[in-house]
Amino acid sequence: MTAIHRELRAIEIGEAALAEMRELAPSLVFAMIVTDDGFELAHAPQKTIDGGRFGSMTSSVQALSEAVSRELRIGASSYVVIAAENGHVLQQRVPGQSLILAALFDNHETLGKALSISRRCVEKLSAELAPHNLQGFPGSTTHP
Amino acid sequence: MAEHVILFAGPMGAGKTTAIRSLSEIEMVNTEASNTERHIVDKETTTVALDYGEITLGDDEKVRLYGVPGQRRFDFMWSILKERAKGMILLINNDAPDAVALAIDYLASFRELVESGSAVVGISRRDLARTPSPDDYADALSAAYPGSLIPVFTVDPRNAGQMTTVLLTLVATLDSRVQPEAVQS
Amino acid sequence: MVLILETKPLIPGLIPTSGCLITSIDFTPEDVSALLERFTAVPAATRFGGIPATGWARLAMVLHPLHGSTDCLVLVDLAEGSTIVIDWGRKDYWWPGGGVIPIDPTISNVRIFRGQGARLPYMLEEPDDLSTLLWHVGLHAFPTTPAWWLTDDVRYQLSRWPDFTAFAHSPDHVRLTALLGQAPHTATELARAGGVQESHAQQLINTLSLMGLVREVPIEDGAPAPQTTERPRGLFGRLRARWGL
Repeated sequence: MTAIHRELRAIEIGEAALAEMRELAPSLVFAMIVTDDGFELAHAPQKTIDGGRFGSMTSSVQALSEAVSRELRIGASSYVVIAAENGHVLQQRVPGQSLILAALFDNHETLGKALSISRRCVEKLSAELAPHNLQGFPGSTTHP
Repeated sequence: MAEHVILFAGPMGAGKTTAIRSLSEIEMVNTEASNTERHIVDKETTTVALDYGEITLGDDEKVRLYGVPGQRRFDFMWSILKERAKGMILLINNDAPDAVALAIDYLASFRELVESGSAVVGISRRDLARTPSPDDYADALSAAYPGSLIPVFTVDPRNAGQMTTVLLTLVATLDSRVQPEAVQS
Repeated sequence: MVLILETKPLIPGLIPTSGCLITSIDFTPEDVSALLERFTAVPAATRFGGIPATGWARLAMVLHPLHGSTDCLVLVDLAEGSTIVIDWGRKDYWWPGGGVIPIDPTISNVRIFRGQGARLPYMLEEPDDLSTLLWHVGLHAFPTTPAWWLTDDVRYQLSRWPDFTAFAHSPDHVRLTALLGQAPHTATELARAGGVQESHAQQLINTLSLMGLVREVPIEDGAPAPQTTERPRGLFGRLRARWGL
C-alpha cells in the first residue's frame, strides 16, 4: 500500500486545505501536513523554512506530547502549542489519519482564532481524506 | 538527585528500543509512530522522539536510559540528548550493508563521547550475518580513533544478561577513567 | 578421524559459502592420510626444562606463539576421541559433537600446519568464534600461576576488549579489564587495585594475554606503581548491587 504522503490525490487535498487556511488567516507564516513519522504531505506557502526538519520536529513534538498525556492519564492529546516571543506553533492530529497539521502563526493572530482555523482545517482534511473519498478517484496516481 | 544519562544510538532496526526495554525497571516511555519507510526497514513502527527507561539505584540516584531515533532526519534529538549523556551505547545491526562503515559514520555524530572513551558498541543480529566480526569493528575504531579502547560486543538486545554486561562495561570504563579506585566491587 | 577428513556423500546443489559447505567428495581415505602427514605433531611443552604442560596448558603453549601468524591450522585430539579444529587465520574453531568444553581435558595430540593460504576445506557446520575457546583455555590453562610465557619485568595493558557477551564471565572480569584499559598493571597491582585475590588477577592477565588482547609495558627502574587508594563505591558497584551480581 502506498504511503499517503505519496498519493497525488491526498497531496492535492492537503494543498487545497492549506490554501484555504491561508485565506482565512493572513497571519499564517507556514503550515505543513506531515505523516506520523515526519514526512511531508503538503506545505504552504513556498518554503521559507526547512520543511524536512520542521516535519521531523513536528513528529517528535507530537509523539512527546502524546507520551506525556499517556503518562499523566489525561486522555488523548487535543493540540500542542509552542508559544514564543515572535509567534506560535500549533499542532493538531487529523482525525482518522496518521497525519499531523503543524502551523506557524505570527503574533497578529490570537491563539483562539489560530486554534479555530486549525481545527477547521483538520476536520476538512479528515472528511476529504476518508478512504471512500480517495478510492477510485479518476487519475489518482502516486507521487514519486 | 544524581542522574546518570546513558544514550542508545544507532540505525533504525538495530534494537535500541528493545535494549532499553531489557534494562529498564519501569515500563518504557516510547514515542513510536507508524513507519512509512517499510521498504527501507520492515518495521511497523519507528521511534520519532525518544525512548526512555530507568534504573533506580536509591532515593536520590537514577540511571536514565535514552534511546534516540535512528534516522538522520531526527538528528536534532541526538544533539539534545548527547549534551546530557555521560556515556553511550551504539547498536549496529550486523546485517546492514557495510555495517562497519555505518558504525563509524554514526559514531562521528557523537565524537565527543567516543573520544573521551565513553562509548561501547553492540553488534546485533549477528545470528543473521556472522561477518563482519567484532575484530573488524575494533580495527576500524582503532583507525578512526587512535589510542581509544572502545569495547565491541556481540549482543541480542532482547537478552537482559547481555545488555547488563554492555551497560556494566560502559560504567566500568567511565568509573575507572574518573577515579580508577572507584571501580569498587 | 576428524570431521573435515571424513568422507560423506556430496550434497547436490549446495553452493559454497564462507567456510560452511561440505566438499568431502574431494577426499578419499588415501587423501586423508596424505593430508594428515602435512600436519606437524607438537610435543608437550615444558617449563624450565622440567615440568610438562598437560591439559589446556599444552594447547595454550602452542597457540600463544602463533599471534602475528595468519596461516595456521591446529588440530587438537582429545583422549576421549573428539578433535578441536582451529583455523587461526580466520579466528574460527570447530569442535564437532563436542558439547561442553571440559575444564581439565586430556590432550593426546596437537598438530599444526603452517602454510601460505592455509585454510580448512569447507565444513559442515558454522564455526564458533575462536575467542570463546581461547577464553576458556586461558582461564583453565594456568589457573593459579602466571602463564609460562609471561615474565616478571613487565606490566600489562589492555589493547582490545574481549567480547564478554560471547562467553561466561563475571562482573569482576569486566571491572578488572577496565582497570587494565586505564593503566598498565602487574598481576599484584591489578589485584590490589581491584580488591581481588592475586590468583584471580593473574588468571585474567593469563587469559587476555593468550587472546592477544594485552601488550607488555616494561617496568622501568623506579617507575611508580599505578595509584591505588581507598575506594569509594562507584556507580559500577551500586549498579552491581542493584542487580545482585
